[in-house]
Amino acid sequence: MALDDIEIPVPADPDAALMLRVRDGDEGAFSELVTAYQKKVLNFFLRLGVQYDVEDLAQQTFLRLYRYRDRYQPRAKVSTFLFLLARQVWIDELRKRTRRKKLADSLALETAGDVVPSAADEVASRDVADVQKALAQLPEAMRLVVELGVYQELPYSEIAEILEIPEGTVKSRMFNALSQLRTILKRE
Amino acid sequence: MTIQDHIKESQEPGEYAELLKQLRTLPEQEPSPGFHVHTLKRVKTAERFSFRRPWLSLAAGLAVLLSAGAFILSSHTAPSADIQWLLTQQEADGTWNPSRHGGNEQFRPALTALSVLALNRSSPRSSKSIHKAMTALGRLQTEDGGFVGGDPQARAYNLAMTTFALATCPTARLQAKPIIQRAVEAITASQLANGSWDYASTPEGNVALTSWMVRALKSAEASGVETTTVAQRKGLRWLMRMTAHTDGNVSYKPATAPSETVTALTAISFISAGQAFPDIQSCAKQMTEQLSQQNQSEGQRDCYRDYAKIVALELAGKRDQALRIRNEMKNLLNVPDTWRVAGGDLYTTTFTALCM
Repeated sequence: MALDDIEIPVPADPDAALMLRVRDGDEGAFSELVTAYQKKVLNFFLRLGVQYDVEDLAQQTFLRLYRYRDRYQPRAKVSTFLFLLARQVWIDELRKRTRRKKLADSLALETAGDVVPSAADEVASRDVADVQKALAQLPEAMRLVVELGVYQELPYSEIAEILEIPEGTVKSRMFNALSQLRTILKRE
Repeated sequence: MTIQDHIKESQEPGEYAELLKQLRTLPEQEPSPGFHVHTLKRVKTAERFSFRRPWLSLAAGLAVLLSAGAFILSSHTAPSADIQWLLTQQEADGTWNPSRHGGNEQFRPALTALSVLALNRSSPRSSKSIHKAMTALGRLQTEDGGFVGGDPQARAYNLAMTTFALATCPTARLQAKPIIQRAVEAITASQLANGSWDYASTPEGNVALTSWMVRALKSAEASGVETTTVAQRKGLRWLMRMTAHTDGNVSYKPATAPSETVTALTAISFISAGQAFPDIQSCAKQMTEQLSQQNQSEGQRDCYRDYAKIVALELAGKRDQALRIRNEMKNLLNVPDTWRVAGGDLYTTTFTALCM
């Protein structure tokens, strides 16, 4: 029996119907999907450390979603499929860029801008900068697990599918990532 | 299992719950107002152009070849005197060194790449020299994808000219693909937020450099190297803004005197861009009209300007005017060139070879 023949029951995904319409060439359905996921995809790249071209990367992800619409199987959640594509866009981008260190450095140097903040705002923005710096210090593989688990709130089974690793590895990577973040943030 | 379940399982659930709260203080960014529309438009364009109309890719490639002067500059069966001279001036390491010919050492990568472009005309006799130069250029490339050069101005110039030359030279571009790919990354990384590129340390955008960078990206794309069209479009959009309120004569920077060279370079970028933006071709037409009306500067030799004008006028179908400039160039061969101080005789010979 081929793998494609195996039916894996997954929780009902309201976006699956939309994606099936996209597969059939419904542009309106695609527009709805872009609206639903644009912010998530954009922030996915932002939290991975991208500062410029972030909208370009998000667009590339949607471009791939459309291009590979025929490959979508309703057995997988649309979010899994989309973040799998986003991860591929990110990997391609990393391969192309030789400026990873530069990105991390510039992330750490980011300031609140020209507006003079209040004392409370100052504390808040310092906290934000600390979190950004801490995330930037994580190895790439751990940062992706944190992004998908903590920020996108995806279940570990889905993260495992997106990253193409066993669920146990997701769990151990997450544990190590959180331990490291805790240490870094305590030090700040 | 979710992150919440995982935390509950841990030995310090309270501590980790606090950590989670702290991590989630990171604010989320909203997409720009036009993001949705632009995404749909980009998907439509990609579908229409990338998959269903392969002949358009061919047409774009031809436009780039045209802009490189490949059709303007016909192949020679025997190397001309200038090509012969270039062949004898190649260094043992494969480069061409402008400082040995009255120019500046900093521009060695650009002059090497331009020499390759000129030598390509006398292929196959130059193929060994080209191969040697490619290997040398690989060594001159820095970690960030740029090329060696002392000051930022030289580095920006080297990046633009070398990428353009390698991507448009048929003999070189297969061997040079990894070099071009890295150079494209450096070009994209050095683009300013407003879409332009500049030499200066307090950058506001330079029209000539932006035209070259756009042209280099376009050539790289046509040579099969993966590029981002966003960088090209941003560059073109900035150039459009810079030319919006002119009569077709363009200057290096706002509020400076117009320059024929810059007008020609901008026109080349616009013509090669096809229908990237509405009105872009009418802008190009206005510029080439201006160029065809201008007389050659009296007795002053400027092979860079002449090269740009010849290419722009040929692309616009004004062959007679291009021929007139070529003939005037021949009469000024013994006059010192404006740019000799930067590139020396190597520079003037290379550009003259590309014009003839």
